[in-house]
Amino acid sequence: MLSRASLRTGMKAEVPGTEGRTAVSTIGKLFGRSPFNLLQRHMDQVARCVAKMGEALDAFEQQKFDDLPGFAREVSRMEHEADQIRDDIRNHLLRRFFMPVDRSQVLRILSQQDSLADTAEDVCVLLTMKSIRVPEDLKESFGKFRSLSAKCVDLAASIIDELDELVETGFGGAEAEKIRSLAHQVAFAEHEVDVVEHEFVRGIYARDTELSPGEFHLWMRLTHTLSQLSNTAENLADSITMVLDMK
Amino acid sequence: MIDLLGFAPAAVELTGTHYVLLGLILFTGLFAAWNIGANDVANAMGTSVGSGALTLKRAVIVAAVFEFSGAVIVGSNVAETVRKKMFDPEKLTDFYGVDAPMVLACGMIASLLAAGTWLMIATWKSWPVSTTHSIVGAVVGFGCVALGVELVDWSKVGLITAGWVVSPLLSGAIAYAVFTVILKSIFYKRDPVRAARQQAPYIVFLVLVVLCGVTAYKGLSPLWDKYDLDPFEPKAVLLTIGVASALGLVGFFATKWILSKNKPIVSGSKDQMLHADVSRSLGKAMMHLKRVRANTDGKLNDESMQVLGQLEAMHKAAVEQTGYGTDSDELKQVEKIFVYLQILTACFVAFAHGSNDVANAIGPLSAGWQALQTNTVSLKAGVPLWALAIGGVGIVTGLATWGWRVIKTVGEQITELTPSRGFCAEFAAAITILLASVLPFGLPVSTTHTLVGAVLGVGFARGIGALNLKTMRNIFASWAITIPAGALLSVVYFYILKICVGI
Repeated sequence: MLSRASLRTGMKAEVPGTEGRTAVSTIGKLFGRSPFNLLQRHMDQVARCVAKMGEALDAFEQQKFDDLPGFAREVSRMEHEADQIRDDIRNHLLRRFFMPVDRSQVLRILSQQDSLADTAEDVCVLLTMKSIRVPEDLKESFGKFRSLSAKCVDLAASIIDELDELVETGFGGAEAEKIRSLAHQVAFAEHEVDVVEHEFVRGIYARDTELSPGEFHLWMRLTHTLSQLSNTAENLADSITMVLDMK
Repeated sequence: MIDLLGFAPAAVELTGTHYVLLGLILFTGLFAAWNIGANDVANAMGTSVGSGALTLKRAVIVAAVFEFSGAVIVGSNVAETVRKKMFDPEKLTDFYGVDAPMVLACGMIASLLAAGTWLMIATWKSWPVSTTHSIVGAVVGFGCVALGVELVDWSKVGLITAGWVVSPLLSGAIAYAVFTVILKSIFYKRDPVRAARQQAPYIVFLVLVVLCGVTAYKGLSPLWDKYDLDPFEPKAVLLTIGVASALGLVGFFATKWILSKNKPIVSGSKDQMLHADVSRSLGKAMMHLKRVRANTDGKLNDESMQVLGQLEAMHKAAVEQTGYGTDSDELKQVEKIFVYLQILTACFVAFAHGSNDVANAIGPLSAGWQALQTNTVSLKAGVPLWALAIGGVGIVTGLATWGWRVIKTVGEQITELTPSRGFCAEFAAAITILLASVLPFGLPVSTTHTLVGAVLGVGFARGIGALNLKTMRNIFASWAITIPAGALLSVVYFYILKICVGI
């Protein structure tokens, strides 16, 4: 996955620039740049953001609060890079391009990927707001909650990683089945996240008198934001199943 | 008919003007052939380079060999004085009397020069235009000013013009169908590699039959004329079908034999692979059981917990055993099979192209040459072997000097094309050429037009990542202006020549 990601980032960003070359073939220009490699490149960057958020949550659980602003800055920077890739795709996704997938669907997939990175950034920023400790007996369910959320995103990323195979097999057949089964796994993981999230929130409500209003509110916002991750991942998986050719 | 030294001895004393015009004819013929090599061939070979089926060097070699052999071995030995009988050149005598041969020669020089110029502009602007249309336009332009608009057979011109609307549509539809069939029979399968290996002999059979047909009716069509045979006679049709199916069967068994010798690289055993639905159903069952567990308590809760544990283990095992065979490595193996098919198709297309389109350059060349040498104007002109050689050399030179650069740019820009897509496009183009040559009304098609249409067809079958429709519009526009542009250039050149020669 990593080698592939570096390969994609290494791709030269041309197409509009080709006009400057001396010999531009019209037949060659007939072939636009496929948006699917770019979507994969964007998703790789988003996955990196979410991985960095995981590191920030590690530090948070270990109460290394001084490291958190650094992580937040780094995730912000990575999110910005993802935004640049997103803008690049939007600029290249010309209206005159005819693609195997509707342009609006490509844009929807893109914006869902983008909101994953935004959510990761929001989580990291929320962590810097106030130094709160995870209550000792809720540590386990919080750990489950965050790792399952990350798993959701990873699964969605693995679907995006299959996009080039999907293009190759014409969006149908066994590859489409594979994507659909991956999407079901995402939906299932999202359900699991919901279950542990409710458990964790119940735990927070159980100690609403012990926590200060600020802490309580921050916990609510944090859990809510973190749960956005799995919801968006599920929507992303759904959006991709929409483009499949199913019997 | 073929006279190696040229034509029958000159009927009239050749003057200095004659020699200048003869030199000009040779030069312009070479110029036109050079441009045919630079423009047309590149478009036909570019897809093979773009899909990675052929390297640039190999593509140039393949194109050179097949274009040249097509042009010289079967290139038309009898050329119509005016390509596609756009007008009757014998009418020139009514208008110009004894000057008619000179006028015809000037007209042919102007036409060759006009077609060459237009092709050069098109290559420079990298428009994929038809060489046939360029020369037809040029000859029509000459006919209009030399004879008058009313003596040009406009229904023929109309039919040729219709070719650029009908042929891309036809080849697009065929490409759509071919690609859909390949998708359904290979890429949709659980194990595309195995499916591709199973289908490959049948595809080879079909390809060889179609390509034999193309060769018989298009590639070798000048030979039919040469020996005065009718390719549509029942005997000839049966012979063609027989040879085609025999070759197809040879290909069928050869492919089977080659495939049986090369076993695929199998990652893990495929025998115990489960259907994807199995793991999905198990996943669904797990989800429902979890809901049951969440909403119940007591005995039911405990029991569902137990079953859930078993289900989870089953699901895990099922997921591990589910095989799709659609990993990029396996898809690459499928594409490898298509590489050979694409190369095969490209060779035949180049051969058919060389044998037919060389006439665009040497037809007018021979006509003008004969008019000057014999001082007569006739409907048909014999084509000496040296003229065919000039055409072949011109095409190959064009390919070597400019065409390879065009192939390179085309190839570099269409890397999104895989061998399976490239094969579909070229195969559809070949089928269209075959259909067009066997159809009773003889629809004139251009390799370029059919190929562009076929690429679009594959795109509409969800085969290509992104197609630029604005470029499509530009391509159509360049097709539309080819005939008028050729005509206009020809008129200008003809008047200049007329003034210079003084007729």
